[in-house]
Amino acid sequence: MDNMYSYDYQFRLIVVGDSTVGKSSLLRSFCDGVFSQDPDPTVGVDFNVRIVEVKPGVKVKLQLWDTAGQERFRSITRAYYRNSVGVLLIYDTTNYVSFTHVTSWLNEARAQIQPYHSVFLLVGTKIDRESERQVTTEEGKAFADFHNISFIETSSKSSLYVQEAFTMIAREIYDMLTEGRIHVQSGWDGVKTGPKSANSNQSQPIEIAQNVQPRRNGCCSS
Amino acid sequence: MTVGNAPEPSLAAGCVEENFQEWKESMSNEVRLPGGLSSGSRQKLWISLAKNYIREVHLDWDKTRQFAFNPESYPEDEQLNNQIVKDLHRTGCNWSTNEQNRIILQRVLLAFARYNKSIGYCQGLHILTSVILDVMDMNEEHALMILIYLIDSILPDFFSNNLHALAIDMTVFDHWLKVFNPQLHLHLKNLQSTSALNDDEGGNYEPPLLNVFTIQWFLTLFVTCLPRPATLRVWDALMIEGNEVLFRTGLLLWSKLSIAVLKVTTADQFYSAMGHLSVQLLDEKIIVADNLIQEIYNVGPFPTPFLSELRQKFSIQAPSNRTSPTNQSKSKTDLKRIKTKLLDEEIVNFVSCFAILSSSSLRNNRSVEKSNSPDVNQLRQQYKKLQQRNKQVQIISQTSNTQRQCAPDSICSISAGPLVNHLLVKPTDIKRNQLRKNVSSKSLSSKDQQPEEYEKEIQQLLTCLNVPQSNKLPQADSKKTSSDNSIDRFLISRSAQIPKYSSFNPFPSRSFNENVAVNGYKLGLYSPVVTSR
Repeated sequence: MDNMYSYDYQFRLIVVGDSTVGKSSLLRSFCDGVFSQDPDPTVGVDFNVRIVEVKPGVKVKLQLWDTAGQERFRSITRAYYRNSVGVLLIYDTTNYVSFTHVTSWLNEARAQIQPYHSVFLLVGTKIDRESERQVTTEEGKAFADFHNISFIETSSKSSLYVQEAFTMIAREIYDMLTEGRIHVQSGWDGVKTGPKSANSNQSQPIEIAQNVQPRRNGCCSS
Repeated sequence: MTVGNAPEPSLAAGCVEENFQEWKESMSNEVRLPGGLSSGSRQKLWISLAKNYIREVHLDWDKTRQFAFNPESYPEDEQLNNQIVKDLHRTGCNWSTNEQNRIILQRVLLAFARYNKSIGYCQGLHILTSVILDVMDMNEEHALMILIYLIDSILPDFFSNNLHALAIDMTVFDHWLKVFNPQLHLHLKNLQSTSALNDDEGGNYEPPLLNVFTIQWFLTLFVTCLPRPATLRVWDALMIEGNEVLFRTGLLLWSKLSIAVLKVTTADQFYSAMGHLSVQLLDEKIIVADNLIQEIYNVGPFPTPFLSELRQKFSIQAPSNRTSPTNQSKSKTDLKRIKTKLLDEEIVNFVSCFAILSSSSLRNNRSVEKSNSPDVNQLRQQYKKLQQRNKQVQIISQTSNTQRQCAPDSICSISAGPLVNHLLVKPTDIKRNQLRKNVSSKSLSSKDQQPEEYEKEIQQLLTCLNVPQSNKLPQADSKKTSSDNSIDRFLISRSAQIPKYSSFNPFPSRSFNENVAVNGYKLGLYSPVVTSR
């Protein structure tokens, strides 16, 4: 629990892609370490947190925003791009149509995030279903190369390269930060410094559960 | 709990209006009694209300049923089913593991999509339908009736038109919370301001912190956030009293959470805290259904006039002419501060059509009177976008070509016309939106307003951006004038033609003129362009 309140930076990432490409499963696999075959569809926007180590001793808290994939929810999800420093563009390797839509997700994200700098990562999911594959690794790679973004294929089911995906984008952002190509700036929540480096007073977790009800429930402490 | 004075469903359908109102009032009392309705009474209540609605709107039920449940498939069924099938097994209801039940769910969802073409299928409907089917013992015809009543009568426009009614309601909710729980509202506002300090420079245009959660609550009618018994009780009230129940429930839930929320000191802590708090909301010991219902009714008699006032205000205000509304409410001083940036921002985010207009107002929030004309920077950005699009077309046409001579960050010269045309008419987009051709009557009204004119303006804009020598555009100021004019004219015509926020479709894909909209979208006309100052 202490870890949650001790980190050097916080990056805010947004996860986008068509519906049922596996955005929520990927996040679940990463954040909770579990695979749920059929998580409830994300309605609107959802939110996850996890800390990763981008290099020895440097901890980064990833604030992960999950979005609804269905087109009409874009009017809602659009508002959450701006404060993101990283965008995970997700497609389903067993569904070619979802791959063809990546361009439009990329465009939308770019349009919304500018003028701030952001890092993109193209993520193909469900590689455990190799026999059903419709998008080859080469195609994904070519797309990513063309747009000069990173690329990885994952399987949330077998948690294959899930950690790597998030670490990859976190490292990329961290590198840009150290190179000065991305800055911590007020008015923008994409990157923030953590309490560890900013103010050690805040490193104490606040007890929330007890306040909801007089009778202590204690679900978040243990 | 007996419901002695509830008429039989058949009786309700036939009974006169007076009797129905009387019965409805008695049911309104019934639902707030401790323990609430028995499952049998609930079935009766829901179906009676639904049948009454169908009678009121003179819907020929036999025809509707035959059409909606027609075993033969219609041309648009395939697309609908494609989307529906994705969600059948993830409803949160135990019974969805049963194949037979999933087929019933699919049939009801398809039937509703056939019946209400402007909504079709929207994610979230499957969750609502599952609950209805659960309550109605999997009776698909009754489920369809109730779904129609719920969506058409209780939640009009919630799921259609790219959720624009929901967008308005979120703004309304925010302002109601300000009155209902000023302390919490202020605290949340401060959390957000500290996370985005440059308030005056358009830095902070993210929706209120609560929205992430409130949107889910509203769209799933609390199914995913409250324990089931409480959810059903809320639904009973909702079915009788209308969608104001959503607001009241939402306000009360936030107030319940406020003690914890007031302790957090940053927006991030708030989000983290909500992770725990959401779990607690699902605890039946914390959310006691009887108390919740009691509190919902204790807020005051239905309906609260305040709600419709706020709704009207926010529906009328178009982001382009946000200058002080003439019908400023006589009461409530805080209503006068309604033109807060928060509102601007929110509507900006939802009304993508006005992106360019709003971006200029974003950069200069305080001067709403400012001219709408975009500056050279915007023009340049559009030009850049056009170039990006060109590149994207290239990759589509030659995915296998991996040579990287054209680094994405470098500006490659604009290609010849045909390439751009490919780009502007993206078949997948149009195809995906085919099923939404049936725009609602509201959208039709703006469709009547000479779409050719928009098209012409867009075409002019296109020509300006696409002339062979246009690669000089960012540097050549002489070019700017003509392009500026056409954008200007386009914007002026748009803002003049669209008088009411509620009378147009905010999303390009289904707006008044699909082609113009799609073209404009591809040009980046609909994306908020925020330039740093």
